[in-house]
Amino acid sequence: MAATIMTSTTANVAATYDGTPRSSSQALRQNLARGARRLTRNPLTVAGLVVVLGLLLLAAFAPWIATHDPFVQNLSKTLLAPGAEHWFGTDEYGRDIFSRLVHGSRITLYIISLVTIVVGPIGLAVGVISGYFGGWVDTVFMRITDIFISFPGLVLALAFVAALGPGLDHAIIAIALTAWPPIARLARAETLSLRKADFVVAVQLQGASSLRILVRHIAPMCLSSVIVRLTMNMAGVILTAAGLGFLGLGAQPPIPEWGAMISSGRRYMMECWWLVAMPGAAIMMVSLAFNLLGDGLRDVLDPRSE
Amino acid sequence: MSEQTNPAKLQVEDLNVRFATGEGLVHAVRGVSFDLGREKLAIVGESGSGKSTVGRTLLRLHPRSARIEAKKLRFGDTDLLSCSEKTLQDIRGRRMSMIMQDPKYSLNPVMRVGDQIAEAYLAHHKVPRSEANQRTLAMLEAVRIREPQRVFKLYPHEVSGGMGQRIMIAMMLITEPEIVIADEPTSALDVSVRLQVLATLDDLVSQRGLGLIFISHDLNLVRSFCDRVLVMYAGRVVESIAAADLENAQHPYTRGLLASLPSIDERRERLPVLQRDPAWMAA
Amino acid sequence: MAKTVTMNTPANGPTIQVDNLDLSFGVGASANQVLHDVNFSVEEGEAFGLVGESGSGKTTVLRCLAGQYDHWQGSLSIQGQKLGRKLDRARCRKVQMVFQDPYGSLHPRHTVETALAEPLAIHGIGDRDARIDAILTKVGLPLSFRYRYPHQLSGGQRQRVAIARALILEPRILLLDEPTSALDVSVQAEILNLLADLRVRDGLTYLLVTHDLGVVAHLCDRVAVMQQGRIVDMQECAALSGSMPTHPYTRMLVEASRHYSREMAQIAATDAAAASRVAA
Repeated sequence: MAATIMTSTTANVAATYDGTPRSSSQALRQNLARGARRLTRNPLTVAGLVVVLGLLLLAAFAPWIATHDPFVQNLSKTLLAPGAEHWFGTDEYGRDIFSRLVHGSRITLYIISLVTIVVGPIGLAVGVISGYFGGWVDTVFMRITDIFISFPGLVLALAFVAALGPGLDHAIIAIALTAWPPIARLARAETLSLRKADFVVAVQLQGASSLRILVRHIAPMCLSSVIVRLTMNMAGVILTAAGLGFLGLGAQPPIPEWGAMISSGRRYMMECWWLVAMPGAAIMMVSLAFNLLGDGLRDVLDPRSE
Repeated sequence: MSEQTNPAKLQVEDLNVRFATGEGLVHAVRGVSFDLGREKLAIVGESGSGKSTVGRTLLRLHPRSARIEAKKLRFGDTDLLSCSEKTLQDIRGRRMSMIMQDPKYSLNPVMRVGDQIAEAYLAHHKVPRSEANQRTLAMLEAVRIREPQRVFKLYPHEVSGGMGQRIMIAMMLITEPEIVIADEPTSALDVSVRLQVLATLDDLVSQRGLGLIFISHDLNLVRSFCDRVLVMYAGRVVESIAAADLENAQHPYTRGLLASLPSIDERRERLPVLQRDPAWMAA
Repeated sequence: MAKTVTMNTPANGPTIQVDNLDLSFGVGASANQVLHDVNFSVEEGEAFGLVGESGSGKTTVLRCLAGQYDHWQGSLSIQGQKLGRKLDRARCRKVQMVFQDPYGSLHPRHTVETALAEPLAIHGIGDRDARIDAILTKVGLPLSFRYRYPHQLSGGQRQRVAIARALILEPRILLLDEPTSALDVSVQAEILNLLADLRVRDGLTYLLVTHDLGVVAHLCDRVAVMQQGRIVDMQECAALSGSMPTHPYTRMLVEASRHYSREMAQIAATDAAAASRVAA
């Protein structure tokens, strides 16, 4: 019957889907496999993915990869240039910079994942609720969002850390507080375009509750752009965390946080470039990788591209 | 029959269009041949039949991924396949123009419609602005717009769909082209407006001796509006027939399409469903 | 077939009753009244068509019945019960809707199975697997399509899924909003046949909105013609073909659906001029 019309597009689909899925898990697997194929088509995305995966491995196996103990000071070997013994050189206390960077990756990941776990659901929930219900709910939520968004992120984070006191966990809370409003705005914009869509009207007509519509029908459609945005945000989070660390308000010494390492190294920056350049390069590489990955994910997850 | 009475303006022989996609080449148009004289030629088919691709290929408005081959693709004395981009620029809009389905997307939203039409004329003719404006007003009148002076100054969002489509027609015909390609020009319009737009198009085609290629999915409309019909299926022309003879179409696909149209006059319990024969793809 | 169904009207009144329906958008001076005193009723098992051009208010009537607007004036009742302003779940079991665009009415991230299981889950109906299999068979889709996503289906198949989703709650009334206008003619014929079969088999009542008189004439028993928010003419569909309709607007629509002609274009032009004069 109708299936036999081979328009050029259906012909393509038929070529990709040689087998009709026989279970929902198989359908999901096919979907994931197709996503993965599209993700790996762009070399820049693959580069980003490789760096991020590398970061994960580095963090997981830090004790085995690090050549030295990141906290042990050796005052006879301070400020050594990169060489065979110390690949990235040593700092003012004779600690091995490579090992500190490797251990620092755990802190970076810790910050990113905590911020994302806090920010994603809050931003999504606020955006979806205010977009779907509109009216005074929307007004209240969006004015709160406006207040948060009208401060530069780092300044707001500074204010929070100043109030809460310096420390890694407080820095994470501060960053999370500044990072959710853009996500909420994004989710709201997506929801506004979806709430009059026929498929939403159809479930309304089936008698679905608002909660069910939001959770099962609207949020999944916003999820992809939120994930893309979160991935892009990770670069910003890393930079803000490094900035707070640099200002002495984030991770406290001797924790090998990358921003804090730059901060303590800047006194010797003129003579010993590696103190600043190595953690700086690490921050740059990781944030670039997250940006590239975010771009690639957008191509894959955007439902409009299907 | 009409191609014997007047010389062909456009000759197409064995036109093939393939699109390169991620999954290989898709053969969208397969060996299409036809001549166009001073007549209203319809290309009908269902979505994906390649009818719009044919229209776009004639103006070489196809995406970069397209590979075009033809034994012959001639417009007057020009070989459309081998001519330079500059010659094409000269032909496009001036000697051969295209009317799209939805005027909303074809008109520039921040420019007055009159200026857009005048601009189209100025792009191909070196005349003073005032003369172009004069011609624009005359053209608006020709497409039966009642107050051309007022409409001249409107922005696209201020005109209705039917008027927008007539403005598009004015813009496409002001350069006095020899061939007009209309891709579903009336399917976004209501019945009463559609009739008026068609009448406008009909008048202009017969007064100015244009060749019209009318791309449509609507067999009923094409049957009464056009002179000749090419029926496309899966990239091929399966039947070429005078519109008046459509009742006596030979090809099972054409007959199937006609039979599956619901009609006011003949109430049937069930509509016959088109049985697709794989042999149509090969024939 | 249609005639016999129309005849056996039950004693408890029409299935759909619309009385003095008014609807405006906006308030004060900028208020725009889109429905003016719309009245009609549809008997049990009848298929009733609403035709008109864009902006005539035909889809708006449908959406009022579907509970998409809550500020209408007048009275709407279904199976003798007055409808409230808000959608309630009992109404969902009685009235379902099929949309024009099969690409937009299915959730792009849900498989056919998820889409069909959703109404069952909302209403706490068990035995889902069997019901989904049964409904897929009913709309003529192979059971292997269960785990496909909408983008893996053709337009006609999607519309079948949308019909299946509307029917899985076993409603008595189906609101059809241009159900075939986005489809190719050969696919349209399949869907129209399916809708005709389902009506006979399950004794459904249809309210069909379309701009295509051919579709109305094929599927419906009676038709109301709408123009600028008013019902201007009501006819038995059988009467459309034989004797010429008396109302000039209906006549124009009928003629236009048959073929194009210069004379009709002329009539349409004067008609439009008259209409714009009335509106002004």
